[in-house]
Amino acid sequence: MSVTSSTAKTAPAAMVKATGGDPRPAIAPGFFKAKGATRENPLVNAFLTAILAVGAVIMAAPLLWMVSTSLKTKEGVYALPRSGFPIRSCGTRTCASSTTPTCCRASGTR
Amino acid sequence: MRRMKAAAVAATMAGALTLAACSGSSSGNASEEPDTSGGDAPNELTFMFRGGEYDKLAYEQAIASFEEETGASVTMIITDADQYATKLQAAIAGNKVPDVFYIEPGRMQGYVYANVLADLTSYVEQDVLDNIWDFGVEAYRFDKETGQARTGPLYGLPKDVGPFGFGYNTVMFEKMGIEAPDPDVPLTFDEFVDIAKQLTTDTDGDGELDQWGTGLNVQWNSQAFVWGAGGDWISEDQKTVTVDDPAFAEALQWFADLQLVEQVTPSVEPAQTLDTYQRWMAGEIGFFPVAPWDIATYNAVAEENPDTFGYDVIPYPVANAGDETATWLGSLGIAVAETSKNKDLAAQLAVYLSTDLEAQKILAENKVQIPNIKDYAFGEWIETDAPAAGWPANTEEFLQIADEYGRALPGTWTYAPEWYDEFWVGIDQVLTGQMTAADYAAQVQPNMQSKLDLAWSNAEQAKAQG
Amino acid sequence: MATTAPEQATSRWTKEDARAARKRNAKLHRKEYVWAAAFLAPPVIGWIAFLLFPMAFSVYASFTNWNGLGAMQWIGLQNYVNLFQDPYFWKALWNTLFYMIGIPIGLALSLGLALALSRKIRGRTFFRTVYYIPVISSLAAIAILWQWAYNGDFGLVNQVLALFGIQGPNWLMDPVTAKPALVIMMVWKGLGYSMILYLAAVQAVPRSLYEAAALDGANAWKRFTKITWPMVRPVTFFLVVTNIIGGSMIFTEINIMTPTGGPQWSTASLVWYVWNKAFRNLQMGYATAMALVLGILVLIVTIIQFRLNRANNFSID
Repeated sequence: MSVTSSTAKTAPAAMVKATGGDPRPAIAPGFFKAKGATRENPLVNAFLTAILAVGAVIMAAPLLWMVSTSLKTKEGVYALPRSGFPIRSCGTRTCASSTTPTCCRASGTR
Repeated sequence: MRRMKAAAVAATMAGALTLAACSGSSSGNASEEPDTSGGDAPNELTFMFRGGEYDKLAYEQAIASFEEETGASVTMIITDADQYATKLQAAIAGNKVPDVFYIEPGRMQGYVYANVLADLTSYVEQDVLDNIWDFGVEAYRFDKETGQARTGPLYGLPKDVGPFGFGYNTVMFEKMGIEAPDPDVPLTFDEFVDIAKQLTTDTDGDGELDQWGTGLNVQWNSQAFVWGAGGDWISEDQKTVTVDDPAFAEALQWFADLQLVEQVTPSVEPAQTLDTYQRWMAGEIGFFPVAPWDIATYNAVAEENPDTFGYDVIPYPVANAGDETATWLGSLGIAVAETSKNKDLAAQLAVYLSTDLEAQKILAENKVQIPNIKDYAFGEWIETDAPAAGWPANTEEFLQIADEYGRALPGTWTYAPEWYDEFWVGIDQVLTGQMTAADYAAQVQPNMQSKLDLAWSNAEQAKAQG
Repeated sequence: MATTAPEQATSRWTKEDARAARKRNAKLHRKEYVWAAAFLAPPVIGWIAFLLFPMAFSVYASFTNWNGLGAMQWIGLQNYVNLFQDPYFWKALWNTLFYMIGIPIGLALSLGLALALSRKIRGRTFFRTVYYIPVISSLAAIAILWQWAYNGDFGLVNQVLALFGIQGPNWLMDPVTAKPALVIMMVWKGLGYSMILYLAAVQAVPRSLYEAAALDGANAWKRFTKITWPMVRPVTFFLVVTNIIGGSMIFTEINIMTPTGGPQWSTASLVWYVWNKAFRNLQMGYATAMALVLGILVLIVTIIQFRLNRANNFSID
């Protein structure tokens, strides 16, 4: 909940500024839009953008990794054989879900 | 509001229980299924199978000539490999059994007891059977009375047999100046470890190992070594679990020690992971399994990286010189429905698919399988066709596995393989050295035995119920 | 619905009026009833054929010894007795419950994301897309992908950990790390979906509430706990209910990533075990009993949730 706790510090400050010492503040045109009590603090937004970017990297990394390894063909990349997905004839899902080796053949030739 | 909530509760209930309903009746996925029911007219047949593009190609051709020869009209239904079993079960539950379909030997018994499979004994000529691998024919025999597999009436013909061979990296051996293993005489365990140790080195001198002797997956490779040391999972009559036999434990311990003691395999817990398949193709592993369905991939790798990868087939190592080598041999079968309206024609189709020379040629040429028919396999194929199509030099080892020493995986000849699955549940403790193989075997044997007993009593019940 | 409307209308009239009207409209009404029945029939028949019958059938099957192919043998409560003595059942139940810890984690993360992305942040469309991509990807493909990412030798996860000098475990092969590894994957996969729903809910909260609260001196945390959280409560409720039901049925990931149920049975879920029993080991009766127990458990949990939700009802006029 870093999102909300960080706004907690900044938003009231903005509010105090807006209302000032005047007990009956004059409401400027566009008050609620431009300088609203819930106006967004650019610093907070920058901070959030950074966090979101890190998160986005985590979200996309496995997919990007898959794409990148499938594009490499040389040795040293063990992840994916060129035939596409790493379906090893024996030991993958289709095979181990049934010990009969026939399934291996099916997936091996896929 | 209240009513809305009641509706929501009802909907949720329905959702939760649909799960229960699905598993019971298989009606859940019935909607999008193709019609699998057998043909009605005297010349109509349906054939349900799974497989890759080459299976389809080969069978399309075989079926075209079958149709021409017999005037039959065959509908092909192809399904995903991992959905086939469930779809077949759904078809049976819905009384829409196709005339001809694939069946696995390990799953056959339940079908035989439920009278789903037609007895083909009287439909198939003896000389046809004589020309197919014995293993491939016996795998589809089953004696209902005694519950013993490999004997009794014939319920199917093999689509293929799949020998799980062993191999080595020819390029690596040459580079290291190690003599290539004999193509016919198996290595002993000691010789194997010795060579594996020589192969396990740091080739580029950066202080880290980058080449290893071997790296084998326990679930698919330990059988050959256990058998090669005289051990087995189950007694000959399929009624007693024999993993607590000392020969068994010794062989399994030897297998685990390849990593734990000899350290001739890469990485943390390599025996359980699939990494080694990739390392093998990258030319970093000396010994690795080679099976017919691998050939196309391995050939492509060898062609691309001729200076790191090349391979040939050898027999699996044995405990002592003179012992008999062993490995497993699988099969997938073609069966006919008992309910088929055209049983005779359907049986003819099954024979055709199993033994048609042209179809076998297509499948073998595309490295899907070794040929089913012995005279072709030992004659023209091994002499000229296989070398021409790029099968490895010692392809004959595959034929020997199929003809002489291949065995079915444990669990194939029992009513259900649950007892065998039980063995693998805690196997990681042996591989990581937390437990000795002997202790583990002793601990797991009673559980396996009680599951095997359950399988037998379920078989009895299935027999009684019909 | 169509049948109740005229009844309500007649109750305001005198009896005579009603009788006359009924007589006058009898034909019309009968026609309406026929039509109503005609429109109601398909769903009702469908419900009976595709839900009630299979359910009743599976209840029956759970009392039999049945291999899914042949005849059924009535064995009374034997399957249930065996079930409660089956250590694998309890292990699978525990594993299934364990996977549920991904639900609160996922909801908290996705609500945080929604709050952040509802602000005017540069590139928020981009972020929303990126976070949503796993949702639209095929579960089978994702599972295979993560199986490789978790590979102890060269998987992405351990490669990244190695950058920080951490030697990662062989995730899916270690009974301790296998379940958490699966939870991480599930959270990753489900984040975008919850985020989108929360985003819609957060944006639907009237700005005026925040303005008013701010003027009254509520700080951001107060505004979150007193306005945002209650206002998105229906979405939270929906997500919790659907996630628990979905989570209890988890199967595909397990079957692909740990096809043997994981080291020492550490990842097998209940549905995986049901499937394994039914289709691999020909114990359809037993599997059905297990599925029913699971269904009832989910039902109980769901009813409790609805009760709790009613007790905490929040309304705004």
